[in-house]
Parts: sequence; structure tokens; C-alpha cells
Amino acid sequence: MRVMVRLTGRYKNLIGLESTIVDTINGDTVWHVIDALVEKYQVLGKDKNRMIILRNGVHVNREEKIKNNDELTILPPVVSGG
Amino acid sequence: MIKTMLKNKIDRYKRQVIVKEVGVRGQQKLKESKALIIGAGGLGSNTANILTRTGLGGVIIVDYDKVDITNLHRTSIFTENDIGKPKSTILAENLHLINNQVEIHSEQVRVTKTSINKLIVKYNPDIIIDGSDNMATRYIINTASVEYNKPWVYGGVHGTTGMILGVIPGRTACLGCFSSVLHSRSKTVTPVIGYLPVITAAVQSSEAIRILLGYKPSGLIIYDTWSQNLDKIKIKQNPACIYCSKKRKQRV
Repeated sequence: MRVMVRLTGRYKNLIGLESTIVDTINGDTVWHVIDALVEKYQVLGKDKNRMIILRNGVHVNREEKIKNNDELTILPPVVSGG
Repeated sequence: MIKTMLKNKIDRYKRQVIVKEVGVRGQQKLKESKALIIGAGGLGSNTANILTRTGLGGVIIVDYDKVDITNLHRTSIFTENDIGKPKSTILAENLHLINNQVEIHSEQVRVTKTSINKLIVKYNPDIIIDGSDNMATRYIINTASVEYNKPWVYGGVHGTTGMILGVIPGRTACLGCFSSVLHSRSKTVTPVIGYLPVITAAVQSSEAIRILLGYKPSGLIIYDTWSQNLDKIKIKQNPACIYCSKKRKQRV
């Protein structure tokens, strides 16, 4: 399965891409996709545990399994300054 | 004299009323609306300034703190003469000078679960604006927004990036739908470039006006003001959200 990963905010700037494709196999979880993404783009490694992940627009836990045609969106953590 | 006053009252919003998204009816709707602004720092002082000039019926400023020299690079209205004085009072005094048609109130209180409930009951605002500087307060606002069915507009800044989210509880994703991790208060000072809260507050104000005029919020906006990169992300309501899912089920 191929999963489309949409990048937003500073992640888009860091990688220079709006989206990327990650290959997965049946049974893979969101964690697998994030691991593969960080392996491919090591600059994202620092935020690996903090990034917010949406699946088809809904927040998703990393333990959940990836389904066919899923699209993930990766958001930076919410900023708190005022 | 009365004629001049009346003319000024109409002329004040002349340019805004001809904006097709607003119109005479929209301006009237704004005049009938009240905003509860939580925090009078970089975000709160700027949204208060914009919304007062826009012609809301009422603006309530809530802040416990006093003006500090470190506030001046990113706030609106405050001057060096105000250092050491209560932010909410100074802001309210100046907003009254800017637009005396708007009912301005100031509350020098710390925002807690209890105090926000009292403020909502006391003023019955049509919208809550986030001008706070920490996530704990934002989750307090989020909870109260769901509880009292009041829309709110989150705003946050860091470095050169601003984030904004308009929330209509029960209809659009709330803050807890995608971010429920309460980061412990960092001892490091948040970096903020001076112009950033002005831009972020302007976008927050635009989302607030949209909501007050019956338009849908735009989703999560992430604006990097350095690279001029703007993302608008549609976030759907989370069926497992600990803040708003129960309320949604109750309504159904």
C-alpha cells in the first residue's frame, strides 16, 4: 500500500515538499509510516514524538493500523506563545 | 451637534459596510455582538484593538497581569508610561478613547475553570478570543466553550509562526479534537518576533468576525510569516475527543 503524507507548517519548509509517498505493507500502523518518514527525512527526527497526525482529516493514534487509500497529514505541535 | 454626532456614527464604518461580506446587516450584527478576550498581551491587545475599531457592541478584557517592558515590542496600545499598571484597565481606557460606541469592560482576574464560568455567565459573550500565553488556559477556554456553547478563536505564536483556529463547539473540531497534550510550562522564554502577534491577532479577528456573521471558520491556519507560507488545514471533529464528543452525543 502507498500512503500519501501531507506536510504542513515548518515540516513543509524543512523538507521542501508539500507531500510525499510512503510505502507500507498490510498491518502497518501509523508508527510505521512516521518511522519511514523520519528515516527518509532525518531533519524531522527531533519532532517525531511531538508531531500531530491526522488520518483523512481526523486525529489518529499512532498505534492504529493504516488502511488502503488513507491520507495522513502531519502538523507541528500547537504553539503556545501569546 | 447631534447631527454631527449621528453623521460620525454612520461615517465611522462607511468603508466597512461597503465590503460585500459585511454590509449594513453584518455591521448591525457586529454591533449586537460581545467578545470576551482572555489575555491582554501580544494577541489580546491586538485583537481588542481591531475588534473595537470594527464596531462590536461589547469587548471584555480579562488579564491579571501588569504591563512589563518585555510586552512592548509585540503589544498594541501600551506605552512606556503604562509599565507597572494593570493591562486590562489600561487597555480598556484606551479602547474607550478609540471607539466610545463600544461597551468596554476590564476584569483583572486570573483565568481559572471557576473564573471563566463566572465571566461567561456575567457577560454572556457571543465569542471568546484567546489572547493567552499558555496551553493550560487554552484548554480552560476550550472546556468552557463546549460547556456554554460559545464559539472561540485560538491563537498562538512562536518565533515567526502563528497558528489560528476558529471553533464552533459541536459543529467544528475543537482544540482537543487534535491536540490534548498539556505541555508542562516551559521555563524558557517563547521567542516571538514583534510583528507576529499583530498578524496572528488580525487573522484571529477575521475568524471571529466570520463566525459572528454566520460564516464557517476556516480550519487550522498555520502562517509562517518569514517564508510567507500559509497552510489551511481542514480538521474533522474527533469522535473520541475528551472535550466535545460527549456534548455532541448529548445534542444528538
